[in-house]
Amino acid sequence: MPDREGIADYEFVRFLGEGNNGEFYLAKPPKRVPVDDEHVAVKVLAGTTSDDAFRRMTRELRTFAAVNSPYLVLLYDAGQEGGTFFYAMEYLPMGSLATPARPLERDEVVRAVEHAARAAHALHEVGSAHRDIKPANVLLHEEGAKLSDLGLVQILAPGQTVTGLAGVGSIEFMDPAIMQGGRASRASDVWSLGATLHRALTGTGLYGELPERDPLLALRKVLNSTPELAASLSTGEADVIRACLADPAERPPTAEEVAVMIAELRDGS
Amino acid sequence: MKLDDLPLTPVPGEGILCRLPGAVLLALPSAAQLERADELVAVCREVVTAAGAPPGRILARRLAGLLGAGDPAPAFCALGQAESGMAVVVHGDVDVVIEAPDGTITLSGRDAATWVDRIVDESFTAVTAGPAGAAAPEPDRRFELRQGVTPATGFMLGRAGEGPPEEEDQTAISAATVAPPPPPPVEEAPLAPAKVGVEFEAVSLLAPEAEPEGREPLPVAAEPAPDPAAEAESAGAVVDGIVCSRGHFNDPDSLYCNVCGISMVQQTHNLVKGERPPLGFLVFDDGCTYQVDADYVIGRDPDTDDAVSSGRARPLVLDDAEGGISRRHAAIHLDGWNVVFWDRGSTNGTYVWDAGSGAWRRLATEERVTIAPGTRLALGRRTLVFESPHEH
Repeated sequence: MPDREGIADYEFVRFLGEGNNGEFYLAKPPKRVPVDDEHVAVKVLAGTTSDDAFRRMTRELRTFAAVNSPYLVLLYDAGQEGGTFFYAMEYLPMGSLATPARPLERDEVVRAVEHAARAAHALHEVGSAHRDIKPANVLLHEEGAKLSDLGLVQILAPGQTVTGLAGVGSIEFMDPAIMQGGRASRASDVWSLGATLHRALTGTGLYGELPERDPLLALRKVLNSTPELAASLSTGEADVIRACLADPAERPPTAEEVAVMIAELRDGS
Repeated sequence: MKLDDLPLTPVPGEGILCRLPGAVLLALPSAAQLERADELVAVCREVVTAAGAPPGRILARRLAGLLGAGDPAPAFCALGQAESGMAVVVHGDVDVVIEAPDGTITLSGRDAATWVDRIVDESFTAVTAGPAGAAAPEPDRRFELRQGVTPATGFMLGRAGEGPPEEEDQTAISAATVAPPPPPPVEEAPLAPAKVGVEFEAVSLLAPEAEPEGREPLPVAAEPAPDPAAEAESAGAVVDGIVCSRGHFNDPDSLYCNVCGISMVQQTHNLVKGERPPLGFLVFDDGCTYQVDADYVIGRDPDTDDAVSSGRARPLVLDDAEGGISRRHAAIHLDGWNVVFWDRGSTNGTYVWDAGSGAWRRLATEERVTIAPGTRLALGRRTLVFESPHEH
């Protein structure tokens, strides 16, 4: 429950929300972290304790942090206090594609997903798959968006596909091939980009609305049905999404190509 | 309004009304459901005691978890203070009417197959609850419940423009003996350490030399068509199986392909070696889902197990608020195409739901059972279902 006043030497200003596998807080950065930001976002991870998991997490975060891309959220600091893990990153006050702070124009939505695709490509080029691309992880700013919250689930709790009720909704963005045991890849992130674009443009999911309070039912629905595109999409939009959801061999081979396709959807389609 | 700032007036009758800091529960059990009603009260107590913050959301989750397991729960409603607003859960024949400046919200559990839940914003001024379809209860405002448990068939929480008598112990109903407090937990889960001095470990992610290892870019080539023989070299276990007409690798006993669903009745059953695909999922009451593609040790602290530290099994950390889960509680082993489950000598036991007898059966320590898709299991207060995509 979001009752923390801080972690390590971070002083929390307020609770921001629940993310996959943890909670986000707005915090004041401690002096030892040399950033100019007045506020940073701190994610406090739930239920992670071992030293081994801490090593795996910091390794993954370092890979993410070392990627030089304007489309990825800047990471500042990672740590643990009494077995509770956290990491600090830049705070983007405009919210995410899932919960934007103000209504978005269609072109802004398209641009945000395009930027997420560019971010995914940058990660892929350094050998990392994001694993958790979804609207809630596409953070907005005035010039576009940044991809956040690398999917650490598989790193911290191998085998876990859904992290509690807060995560139930996220399975609509998961490549079914991953649920069948496939490994995270360029292709699986491309699938998630397609699902994210669909949700962001139409406000509906590929499987309709999943029963968020009933994980078992949600899982069954996803496993037993075929994604369906909303009729409200334009032909161009539907083509891009359909390409992302195709059989792995048929999908655009890189997320960068997805970004180019999405960019073409801007300025009317 | 904050839940705790409003007076709570019970409507006398059969049923149980419980008020705790940040939470109100009304349960209307039948005679056969009294024990289940006690469980609801116990959950409220635990959540309220454990949560250092508004208990609303966690209370809703825990009650929902309880509904998914065991015998049918009695009709009930619960209100819990949330960060900004109030969480409401309604199950069965109970109506909850929430008055707010912009209108009245009625939540009824009667029309829901499972339960209704909602977070209402803080603007509400009063809440009444009682049996579904009954006329709005007329509470006797001489009575007020400040904290505890009392018999009641409904309640009124607050009433716009009407404050309660201010006197501290004015006819307050003392905690009745309807539901005794739960026994103390068997194993006390360690509380979070008090923050005395700040001791922590931190790694900067700012340094440009943060790159820990020069990884290769992910392969761009599209995945090759499934070729079980070629994939057999990779990490998963190699087992005998059959291949469907579209090339998916399956259990030799499958009638339909587990990936594409195509019938395999017509396939010639040539056994080939291949990498075992995931056999399904473990779906826990709180929504956590794990893929069954490896062995697991399940418990509060599974990392300490030899099988985990040696890399033979994955840790699956499971806890409940009551400390009912042992450090190493249970384990799962994949044997060919079978999923074998057993109790690791836990304090509170591991139970399997036996649909035939309609009862939970406690497993003997180390008794190994092969679990079929759809099997329900209980560890401490936690429940899970072994779900496989194709048996439903």
